[in-house]
Amino acid sequence: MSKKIKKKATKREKKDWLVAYLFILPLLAGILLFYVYPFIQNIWFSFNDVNKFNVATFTGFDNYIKMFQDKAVWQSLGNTFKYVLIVVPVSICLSLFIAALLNTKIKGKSIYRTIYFLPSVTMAAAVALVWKWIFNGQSGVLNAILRAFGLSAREWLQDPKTSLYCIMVVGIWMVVGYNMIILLAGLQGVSKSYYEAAAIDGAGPVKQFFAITIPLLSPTIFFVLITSIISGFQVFDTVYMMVGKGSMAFESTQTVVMLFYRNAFDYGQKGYAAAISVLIFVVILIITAIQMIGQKKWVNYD
Amino acid sequence: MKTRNKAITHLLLLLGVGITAFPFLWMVLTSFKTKGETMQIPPTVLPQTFTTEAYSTIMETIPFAQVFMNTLLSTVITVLFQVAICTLAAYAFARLQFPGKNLLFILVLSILMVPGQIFLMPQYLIIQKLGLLDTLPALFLPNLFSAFGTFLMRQFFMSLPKELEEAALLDGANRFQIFGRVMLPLVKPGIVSLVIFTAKFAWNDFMWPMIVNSSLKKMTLGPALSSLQGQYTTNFPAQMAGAVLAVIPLIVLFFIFQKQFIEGVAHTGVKG
Amino acid sequence: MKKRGLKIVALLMVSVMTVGMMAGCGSKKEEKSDGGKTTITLGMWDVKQSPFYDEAIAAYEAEHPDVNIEVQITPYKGGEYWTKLEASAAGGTAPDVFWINVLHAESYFDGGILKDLSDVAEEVALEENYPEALVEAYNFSDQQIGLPKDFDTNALWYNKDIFDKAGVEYPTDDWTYEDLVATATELKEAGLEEGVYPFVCPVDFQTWYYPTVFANGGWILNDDKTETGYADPKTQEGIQCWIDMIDQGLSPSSSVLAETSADTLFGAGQTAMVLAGSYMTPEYLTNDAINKSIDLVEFPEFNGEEPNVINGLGYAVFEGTKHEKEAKEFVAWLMSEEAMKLQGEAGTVISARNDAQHFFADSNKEINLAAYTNHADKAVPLPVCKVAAELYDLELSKLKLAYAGEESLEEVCKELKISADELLGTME
Repeated sequence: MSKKIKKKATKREKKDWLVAYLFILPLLAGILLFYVYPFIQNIWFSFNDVNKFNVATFTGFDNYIKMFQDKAVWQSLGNTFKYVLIVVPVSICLSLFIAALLNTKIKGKSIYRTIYFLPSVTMAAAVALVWKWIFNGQSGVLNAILRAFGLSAREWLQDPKTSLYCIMVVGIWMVVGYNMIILLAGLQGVSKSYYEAAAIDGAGPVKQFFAITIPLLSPTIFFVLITSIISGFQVFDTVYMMVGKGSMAFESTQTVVMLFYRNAFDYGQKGYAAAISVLIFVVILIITAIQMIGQKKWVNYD
Repeated sequence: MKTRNKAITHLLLLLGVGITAFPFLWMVLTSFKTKGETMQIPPTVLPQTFTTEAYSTIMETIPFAQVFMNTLLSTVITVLFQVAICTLAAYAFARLQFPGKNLLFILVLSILMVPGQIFLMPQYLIIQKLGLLDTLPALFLPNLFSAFGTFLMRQFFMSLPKELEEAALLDGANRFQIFGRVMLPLVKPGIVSLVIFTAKFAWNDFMWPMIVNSSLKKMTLGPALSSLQGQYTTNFPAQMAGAVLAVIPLIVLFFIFQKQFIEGVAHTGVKG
Repeated sequence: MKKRGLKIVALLMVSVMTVGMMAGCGSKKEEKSDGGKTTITLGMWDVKQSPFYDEAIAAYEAEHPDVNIEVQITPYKGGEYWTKLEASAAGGTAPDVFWINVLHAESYFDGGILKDLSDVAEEVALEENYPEALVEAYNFSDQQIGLPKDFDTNALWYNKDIFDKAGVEYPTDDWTYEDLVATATELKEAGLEEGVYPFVCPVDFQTWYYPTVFANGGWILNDDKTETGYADPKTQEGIQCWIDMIDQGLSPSSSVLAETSADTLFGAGQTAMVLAGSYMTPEYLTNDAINKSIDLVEFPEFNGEEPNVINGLGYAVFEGTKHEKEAKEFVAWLMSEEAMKLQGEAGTVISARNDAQHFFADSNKEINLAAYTNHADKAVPLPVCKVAAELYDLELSKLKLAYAGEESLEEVCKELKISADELLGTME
């Protein structure tokens, strides 16, 4: 792409430049003011000791040195990776599957879609409360069901072995609906003629799904993948609300953003929190960069 | 054979529906219980004494109509602007060549990668400098510009065949015409999913309205409902009633829109 | 054909103008002046206390026709109140007067956002009229940066229904810790319903183990805040007494309590007794599941002492206020006998002023609310320092291991002291 630009630009291309800049101008202006400037300030803060009122004292790499020695950082990073590695693939496969089912000629489609969409629009705070009760060791409905089937009950959210998985279930439950909507929107772009042609060739629905749907949907899948990974790395609300500090599972469910939040808002250590947020940024950046490069292998534009 | 397939599809979908809808159903049921009943262990499934007390509590404590209008207005403005701004930029990023394109796109994307909470304090200070604290525009101003939305729309533009554009160029159409006449109709599903996402986000945004606006008259639904919650323990029925009230408009919106984009576009004959 | 493009450009321009116009309207509103009236804002978080403020402000405004008081409520949970206060203080737009607690007092003083209220303190004769512990809590480097408005102490609540069913006698004000254990054992042996416990012992510092630690002669922080006292056997005894009750099956396990709070269990009639701060009173009394059968007594004696921890909120004035005189006058009035009486009579909190403390107990004669105020003079203030929030979290993260029986309290305290002292070392 860039090679093309370096060659002498034609008149048409130059005109395109102007149009392009005009198109991105509103976005860029807003983003620079409301996001890029705070973001740069945040990087600056990571090299400072910052009090609760944004007054900074330069401390060099102190925050970073502290961060690399902080066991909590590594543990929470580990928890977060575990979360992403399970939630992202599971939720994407599920939403793809549901989207495919809903893209067929089937009765009650719009009711199904609306119900599947429910979790993603409901307030997270209310949702977390309900799920907390479902997993409650004493009175939770999950244990009631297990007992009814003669299985043994557990303290799901208190047990370090199961707690993070419970959070994952809620995470999946919350995103499947929305991902499904985006994928469904993508499926609309796939012309029926491809399937008709494939059907004439004798390809069954499963083969059609893998040979036509997946490749043609790949730009949308790619989008869902990237944004799911990013939001997976930033999981916070559900953990914050479902696992209290007094829980034995607190350490094994604490995510990086949770750790960032505690430092910034509970402890008033904005400089250290800024360093953690830079770490989060760098980790996500590396993973996104890998995907951006990797996409050429499987994402089918045009 | 076909009926069997359909039966299996329905069975699978219904299973999913059960899991998906259960927590929501629980919310609705809880909202009709008394405060005392929600404290019971083990909890009851159906309300023992059916009461709409939680809903009247909400109506009494917050200026519901006003708050609802604020939320609606703020959501509508956010959606309109965000869709316009993001779609324009996304088209440029997806379809036009210009120096600095990749760099600028990375800049936009990188905003997604930092925890959103870092923006709270600086954005507050910006809004303050603009003299907009405790006003309606404060609610939506930073949300008009979305990295997520730009990325989403870019992906939709990128999946469109180049031939369409080239054909239009040969016909002598300029970029504005191509954007408005050729490309925009084709990314309608994308726009609708962005509308839904943005509406959901603006509607449920919580921390920001709380920080930037002070008076209940200028507040949106989410924070106003949470101000209902006592400091120490929670009034579960009121909280659930609040969540139910908040989600209903979004569901209605979705129900109306989904037909548009799902059935509407399928017949426009887009080539894959 | 060109119309489309033009339309888009026009749309954008209109949009920008609309935003600009709204921005304009907004900034004009900033300089509001209600016909020469001065507006003072009061920042607070507890909705339960707004009835008192409604009344008090009406009275104040009647006396001061040139002043208009505006209340700003931001919820405490989730940290919204502090986040907003910090952002607005950094931007110079914080409320003129706002609530503050001991956990934030020192760092806000360091941040230089609080006015020295020594003159107001003198005016209301603070040292004479208010408990010393509370006055001290808001005094740094001889500056009185906060004025104590209310306080909370702890007491033992019980559910008469559960006692009646088990045929066990109710607790009394002169109870000791040993009586508590004996009665809890009696309740347990009498056979309570399934899922009902005699007592609850969550890992809670303010209401459970700090009172007993202090009564036992133990300590948490030394005076110059350089060392913690977790290794002191006396400190450990004050914690161990609650763990013992879990081990004896008199309280649900710590994992149950981590999931369902002690207050929730008591509110659901699942525990016969609970310790609770005075701020829980309105919550319990409005809970229709239990409010007809509950009463309270003083915190049981421990080691022959009356254990209790006292903590309270204060009023602060923002350094950047544009109406210093009016703000200080308003605070002085809030601290007056009249306002403190109103606050006490509202029955939500205990007024800090010595001669107004009894109004809380008087607000509801049916129950023994005096249990909270009888020995308030002997209560110990919450140990605080600049890293208090972090220290409490650290304490919890270690002590929960001992409560769960995974490690002995002695071992846990040894590790806790090392990391806590290290943490204290990070404060300059």
